[in-house]
Amino acid sequence: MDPTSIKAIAVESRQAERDAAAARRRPIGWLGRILRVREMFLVIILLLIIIVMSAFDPGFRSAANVRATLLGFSMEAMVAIGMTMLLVSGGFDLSVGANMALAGMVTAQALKFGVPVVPCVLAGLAVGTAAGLLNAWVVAKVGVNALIATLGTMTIVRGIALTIWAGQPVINLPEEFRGMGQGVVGGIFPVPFIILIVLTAVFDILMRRGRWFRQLYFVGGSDKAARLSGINVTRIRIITYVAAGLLAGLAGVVSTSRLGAGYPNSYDPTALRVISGAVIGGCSLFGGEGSVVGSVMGVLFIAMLLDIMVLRGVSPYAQGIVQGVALILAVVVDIWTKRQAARG
Amino acid sequence: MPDHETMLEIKSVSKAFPGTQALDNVNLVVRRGEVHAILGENGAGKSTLMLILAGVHPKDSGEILLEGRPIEIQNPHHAQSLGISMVHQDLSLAPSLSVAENMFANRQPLTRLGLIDFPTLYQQTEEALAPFELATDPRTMVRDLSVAFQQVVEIATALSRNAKVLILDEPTSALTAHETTILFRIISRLRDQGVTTLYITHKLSEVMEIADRFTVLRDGQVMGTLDTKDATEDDIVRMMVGRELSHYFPDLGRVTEDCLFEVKNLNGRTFRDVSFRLYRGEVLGIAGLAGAGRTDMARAIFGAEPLLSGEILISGQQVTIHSPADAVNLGLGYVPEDRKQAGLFLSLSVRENTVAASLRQFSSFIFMDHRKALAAVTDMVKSLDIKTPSLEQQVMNLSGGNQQKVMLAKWLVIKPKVLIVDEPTRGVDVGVKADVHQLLRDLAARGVGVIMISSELPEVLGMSDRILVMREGRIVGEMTHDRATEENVMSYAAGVQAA
Repeated sequence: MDPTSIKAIAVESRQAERDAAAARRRPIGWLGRILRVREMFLVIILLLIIIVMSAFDPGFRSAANVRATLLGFSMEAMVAIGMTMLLVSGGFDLSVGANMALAGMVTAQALKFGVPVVPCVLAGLAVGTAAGLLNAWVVAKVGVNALIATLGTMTIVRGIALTIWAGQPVINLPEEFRGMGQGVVGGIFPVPFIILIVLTAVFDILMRRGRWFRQLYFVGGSDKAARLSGINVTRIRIITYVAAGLLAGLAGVVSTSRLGAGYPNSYDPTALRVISGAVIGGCSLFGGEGSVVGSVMGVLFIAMLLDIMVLRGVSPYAQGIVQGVALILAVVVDIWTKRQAARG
Repeated sequence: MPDHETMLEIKSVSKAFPGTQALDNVNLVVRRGEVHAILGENGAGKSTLMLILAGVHPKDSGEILLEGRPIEIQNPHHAQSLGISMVHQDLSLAPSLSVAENMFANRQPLTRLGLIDFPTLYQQTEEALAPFELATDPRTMVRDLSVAFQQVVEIATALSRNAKVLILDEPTSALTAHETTILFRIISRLRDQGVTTLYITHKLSEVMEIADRFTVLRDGQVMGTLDTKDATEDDIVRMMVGRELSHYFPDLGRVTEDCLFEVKNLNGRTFRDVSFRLYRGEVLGIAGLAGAGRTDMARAIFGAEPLLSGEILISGQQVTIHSPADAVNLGLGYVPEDRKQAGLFLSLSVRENTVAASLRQFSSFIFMDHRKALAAVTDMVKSLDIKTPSLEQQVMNLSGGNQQKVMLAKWLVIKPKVLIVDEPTRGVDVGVKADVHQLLRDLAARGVGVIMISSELPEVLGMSDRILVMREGRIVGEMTHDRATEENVMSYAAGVQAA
């Protein structure tokens, strides 16, 4: 074969390749390009909010408010880590809130029975893991659509919690259990936030550079392609649902510790907020995209939005409106960037 | 034959799926370092055979020997580790990951901490792509690559897994002639390096050009294996369909002077200044490379994509088309290239698909007139010779060729004035291809204007009364049937010759 002609074709194709890529990028414009690096976009937005709000509202920059915001978003952000793994691999889980509640209730009840703290915490984590297993079985093994399956487990798990405790909370949990949720490090950082930072760092690195975790992007990008590439898709789906359940269980236990009580009917809006946050942070509902840091920042964004609403004296009943709008906007942006990318 | 020449031997392999015997006692010997084409109509069993080799399906019975040793292929991963890699027709790459990660999925180099070592990964990717002289940045996301380039990435991936046997499933179905040339150069170089290639295709010209030998399957049985140099295209067709096909394209009809449809200075996102006329009774072929703006232009005319400026006239009357609904009301039909996603409702029946564009026609007040609709569908199924067990059969269960016919039927029901067909015979077998060509010609004879976008040069040349060639969003050449040759269409399309 004539090497020069190949070279010529190669050069030509490379040029065509570049042209095509350029043509594809052009219509997206500056906004799209920033949105492509969603984490950067979020960092800028969050910094802007912090700077502007700190300048105008002393209440916002008060140590109490900072602590409250960090504490409030930490548990949801833990759930968001698991949700990111699910969204990236093309799944999702609506049952996380119910899961948190049941895990918290089991821990609380065990503490009331006088069981030492460590086994109680482990029991809560086991509950979360079991709920994750149930999701994994229905979705990955039986093959039920994730929306329907987790909608079902959501009401089942919630129903179990409400039935066992007849809708009543378990209060006055022992002091030695509360440190996990109520402790503060360095005067301003709540313990749950520290736990979150560690988890975020570990899972973000694993999702970026861990060989096993990178498989999630293949599964989410194309289920069929992943299978043909020799990836065990079913096993991966099972493990991600279980991991998401475990993280939700952890969030439930930490939250119970923070409140000093277990409430069987709490954490209802968690799934919505976590999925919204993850999508704002760059996860795609179509799978194959997203990062842990992005999702955690997305959840922080929503938490700050709600915090500002409270500080500004907006009716708490209006929170739902803002959350709903944020979710739909995030999905619209997701669809919109997809559509731009698909053209050309 | 001496043993060292045999790479792969398939002995009495059979495979049944519910309702069909996909493979019936298949025997095949593949020599080391040859390009061996696997031919057959849709449903002949060629894909099934290859998927068994690739570890996707298990065989029911029979034996497979690789380099003389019997092997039991467990799954795709096992096949790859044995040295058999398949490039699937629907490419199996993750679009939102980089070229590098796709190529080294699950075998990325690791650092001492057990994390992926990206610098080394990128370097290995560059090395793996280097022999193809199509070096790209390994960080490029796969969705930013053309289909042709993705194909190259898949082939490079297979080779980086030390593939001894490379299976290509209709690799050129989404490639332009130019890209096909590049692919063929790559295949022949691999042959020089001793890689054995199994090549599934519908295109006979490709077999003649690239294959050393070929095997024809029909109804799950091997019809024979021949040396390419001892066979003609007619021989292959005879083996494939079991009958003679006297000619491949129907005779041209009579084009009138009556201008049916005209566009003036159309501008869109990816096309510029497009003007042309379509006469009653004409088949107007639109040739060009992938990405030349042909499909976008057709979609814009049909209202499926924004038209930035320009005029559209039907029978001399200027019309406004804002949506496909407008286009349908004006008598335009558009058969898209992507039949699985854009052209058909796969989970609906033949009947429902056929009347999908003409519900109003079959409704009185708000209810469907089922008897009227059923009569029209029955008529279509009969006249287009759509092979389906019943009108209520889900379209996803039909063969590709019959799906294509259902898609055409949908538009024929509305009795269009102008029918735009985009790659009308992609991925269909020889028999259906001839049917589709005859159908388009019949439509033209009945006064319908047919605009046919096609990347297959023989099709464009054989079918079109007139050919427009598009390149980079513009019409760069126009020629009548008798003036058109493969060479001048290609030179316009590739921009070798000034317009």
